[in-house]
Amino acid sequence: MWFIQYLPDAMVAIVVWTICLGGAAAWIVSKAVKWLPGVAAYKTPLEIIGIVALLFGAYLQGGRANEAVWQQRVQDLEAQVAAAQAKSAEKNVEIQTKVVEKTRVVREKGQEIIKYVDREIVKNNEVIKYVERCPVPQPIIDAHNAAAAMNRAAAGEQK
Amino acid sequence: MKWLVSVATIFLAGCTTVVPVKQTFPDVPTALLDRCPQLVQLAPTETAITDLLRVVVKNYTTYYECAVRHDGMVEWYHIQKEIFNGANK
Repeated sequence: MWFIQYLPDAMVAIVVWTICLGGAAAWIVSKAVKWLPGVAAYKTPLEIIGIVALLFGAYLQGGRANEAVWQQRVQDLEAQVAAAQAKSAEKNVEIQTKVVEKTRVVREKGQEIIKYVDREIVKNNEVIKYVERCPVPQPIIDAHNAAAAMNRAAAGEQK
Repeated sequence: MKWLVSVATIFLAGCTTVVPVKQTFPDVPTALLDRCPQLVQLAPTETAITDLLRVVVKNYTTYYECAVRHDGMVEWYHIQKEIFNGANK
């Protein structure tokens, strides 16, 4: 019962038990009054009230028990979610660190190779002769540049 | 009759229960959100084979940096999905 969660548990327990015990008491009294001539007329109403109160009290007890079960499930789920969030944050940091490190290594390796080209390859005699005699033809440069920019062409086609 | 309908509505409302627990999927780490940069092209004045080699090395570097981020994104998604689904069991 959704409204039970907003009431103090002790208050709900007192009310529910009062109804149950009151109903039981009314039913017992209804059985006892038949021997008392002055109040025998109240036997049937007391019996009805007692039974209705007992049934209603049982219903409320069921509601309380159900609410307790649901509250426990909520607590369990909250604990699971909190544990998952903590693990997720930990993995986030782990993956981020790994990616940053790998990216750094790749970038440094690339810079090392370019430095090697500038330091060693450009001074190689065969390379110097080749560079002097054989400039890269323009069609090859154009084809290379077209390949390097093919994502721009793809973006243009999508628009 | 109106009284009966009101009482029945109140009692039926007892069947509803909302579980107030929300779980949100985590945000992607910032390192994985960088876009892949554009590849380098040769300038018209760069006609030496060594210039071509430098540009190719730079572009290979760009590709592998991007590949590392992409692999990281794929791994991040699979791990987070597993954690997210595991919490709901």
